[in-house]
Amino acid sequence: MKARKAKEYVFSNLLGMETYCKNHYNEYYSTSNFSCNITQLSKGELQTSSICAPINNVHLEIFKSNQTLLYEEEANQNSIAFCWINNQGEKPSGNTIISGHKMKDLSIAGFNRLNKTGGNTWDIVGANTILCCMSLKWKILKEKIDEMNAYNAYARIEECIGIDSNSTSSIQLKKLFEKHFTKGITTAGGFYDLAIATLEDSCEPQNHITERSESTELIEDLVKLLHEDRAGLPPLTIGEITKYLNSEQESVGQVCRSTFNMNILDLIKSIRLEQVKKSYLNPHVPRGLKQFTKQHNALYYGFKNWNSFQRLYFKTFLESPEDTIDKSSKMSVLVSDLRRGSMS
Amino acid sequence: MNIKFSYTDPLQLSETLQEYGQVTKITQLESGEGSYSMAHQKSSGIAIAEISASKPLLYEGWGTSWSVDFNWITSTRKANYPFGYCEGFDMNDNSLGGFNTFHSNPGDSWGKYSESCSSTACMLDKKTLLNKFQECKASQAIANLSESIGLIIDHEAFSQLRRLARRDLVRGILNPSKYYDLITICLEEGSHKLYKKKQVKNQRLLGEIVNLSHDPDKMSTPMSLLDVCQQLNVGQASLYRTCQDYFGMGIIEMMTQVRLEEARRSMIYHSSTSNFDNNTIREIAIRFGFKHQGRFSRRYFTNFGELPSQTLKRSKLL
Repeated sequence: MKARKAKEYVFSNLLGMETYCKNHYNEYYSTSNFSCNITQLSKGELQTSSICAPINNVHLEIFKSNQTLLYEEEANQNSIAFCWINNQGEKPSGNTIISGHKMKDLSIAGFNRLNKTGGNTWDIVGANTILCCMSLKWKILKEKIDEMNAYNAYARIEECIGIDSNSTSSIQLKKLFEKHFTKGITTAGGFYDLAIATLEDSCEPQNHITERSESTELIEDLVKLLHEDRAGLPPLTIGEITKYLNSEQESVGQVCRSTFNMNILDLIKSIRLEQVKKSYLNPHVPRGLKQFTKQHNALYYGFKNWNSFQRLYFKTFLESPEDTIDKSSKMSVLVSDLRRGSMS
Repeated sequence: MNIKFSYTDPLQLSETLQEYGQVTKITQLESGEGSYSMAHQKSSGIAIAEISASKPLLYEGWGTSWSVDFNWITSTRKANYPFGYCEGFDMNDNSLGGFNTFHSNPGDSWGKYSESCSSTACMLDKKTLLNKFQECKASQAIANLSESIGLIIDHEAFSQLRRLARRDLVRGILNPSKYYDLITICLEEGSHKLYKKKQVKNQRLLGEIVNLSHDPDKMSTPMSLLDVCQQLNVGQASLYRTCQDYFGMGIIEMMTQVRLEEARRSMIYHSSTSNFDNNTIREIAIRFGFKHQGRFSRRYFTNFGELPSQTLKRSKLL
C-alpha cells in the first residue's frame, strides 16, 4: 500500500488558516466539534505554511510561520497531540510554548489537551520555528495503554503538560515522523507505540517534566477569557480579569509577561486587533458593507479612537484596514501536492 | 400496582433512597444526558429497590444503621467484564454483594454499576436476620456474612429470591419472612470467589479512592496526582491501573466528576433554600476545588449540558 501524498497549505491570513483547520479536523475527527482561534503576536506581514501527511488514525503535520502566533483550541476527548520543534540547528527568533511547556530541542508537549482539566488548550509558536505535530486518536491510545499495561503513560497524560526527554523512544518517534515525510509510512502502530513508550520513559529522573499547575491553568483561562466574544464586548479591566480568574493582579501580570513577553493590556490589544482583522476578512460580508461598518467593528472590539486604531493596525499588520478589506476577496489559502523527499 | 419511576437526574434517585435511610451520593461516571428508573417497595423490616440507568453510576455513602443491604444485578445485555463492583466485589449474574453493610458504619459502603445491568438492593433488618440465622443454626451464613464482602451463588434459592423481588416490586411485599429464609439459604450455600492477593489489595484501594474523592475536607483543594498518591500511599501506575480497570477513567478525571456532581448538588440545594447572586457560582466553584469560575463553568457545561447559572435558575423555578 502506498502512502498518501502530502499536501502543502500556504496561508496569507489567519482567518483562512482557522477555516482550514476547522474543516480539516472536522473531517478527520468526524465526531468532534473542533474550533480554534489564532492571533498574530509579532508585527509584520504574515506567511504561514502547513504540510499535512495524514495516515489512517494518525494526523501528521509540519507547521511554520514567519510571525509568532498564539493558537487556542477547544480541548476535546477524541484526539491527543504530541508536538516538538525541529529547527535543524538554527536558533528560532521567538520562544515556542506548547500548553505551558517552554519548548527546547528535546521537548515533547501537547498531550495534555484532553478535556479533563477544563476546556481549552493554547500554544505559542515562535516566528520561523518548525513545529512537528502528531495527533493520535485517544480511544486507540487508551486501548493500547491498557494492552501494554503502561499506566505511567496514562498518568502523564492527565497530569503532565510537557517533557524534555532524550530517551531512545522519543528519538525514535521523531525519526519515524521524519521518515514518514521522506519515504511515507502507511501504518499507524509505530506512532502509537512510540508515543506511549516516550510517556513511560519520561518517568526516568533525568527527564524534565512540566506538571499541570495553578499557573498553567491560570494562563489557559486567561487566553480563553480574552478570546471570548461577549455581547457588546465592554473593555475588560485588570480588576475584572483578576476577579474572574480568582487571582492576584500581580500574578496575572507576571504570568502574562513571562509567557507572552507583553503586559496584559497589550495582549488584550493584540487579540482584539486580530479579531477586528478577521471581521474585515469575513468572506460572507460584502466588501462595501465592510467598508461602511469598519469603524463600528473596531469600536465593538474596544477601539474607541479610529485614528489611533488605524495607526496601531498599520504598525501591526503593515497594511491599512482598507487594504485588508480589499484583499478579503482574494484567495487566502494555496494548496499544492508535495512529492516525498522534497519536504525537508 | 407498578411502582417504577423514571428520573432525569441521579439527584432524584438519591432523594428517593433517602426515604429508606440511605444517604448516598450518586455520580454519573460518563458525560452526557442519562435516563434512570427506580422501582421500590418497603414493608416491616425490609425494603427493596431496583435501579437502572443508561450511564454508569457510582454510589457512595451506602448503608444504614438498621439494615444489611444485599445487592445483586440483572444483566440487560452481554458484557465481557463485571457489570459492577459492590465494595470492590465483582458483580455478575450469580453474585450477591453488599455484606460490608453488616459491620461497617452507616454510609461507609460504595458500589459502581454499568449501564448494561440493573442493580437491586434488598435491605433486611440486622437483628431479625441474626435471629433467623440462630434459629436455623446457620453458622456458615454467619461466617460468610462476617468474613466476606460477597459470594457466588449458584443455588436455586438465589433464583427464587430474584423472582420474588421482581414480583414484589410490582405488587408490593406480601411476605417479608420469605426474604430472610432465602437469604439465609444463599449465605449458607454460596461459595467464595477466589481473588488473587493483588485483587484483594485493589479492593482496599478502591474503597480508599472512593472515600478520598468524596471527602468534604479535601474538596476545596485542587488535588494533584502527587497529592493523591501520597494520601493513598500508592504508586501512580497502580493507581491508574486500578482506576482504569474499575472506573474506566483516570483518577483526576474521576475526582473531577465527583466534585462536579457535588457542586451541582450544592447549587440545587442552595437555590431552594436561599437567594443567589453573581458570587454564588464563584463561591461554590472554589468550595469544590475549581479555582477559576470560567473553568468550572465550562467543565460543568461539558458534563451536564447546562451552565451553573442555568442550574441555579432552573432549580429555583422548580
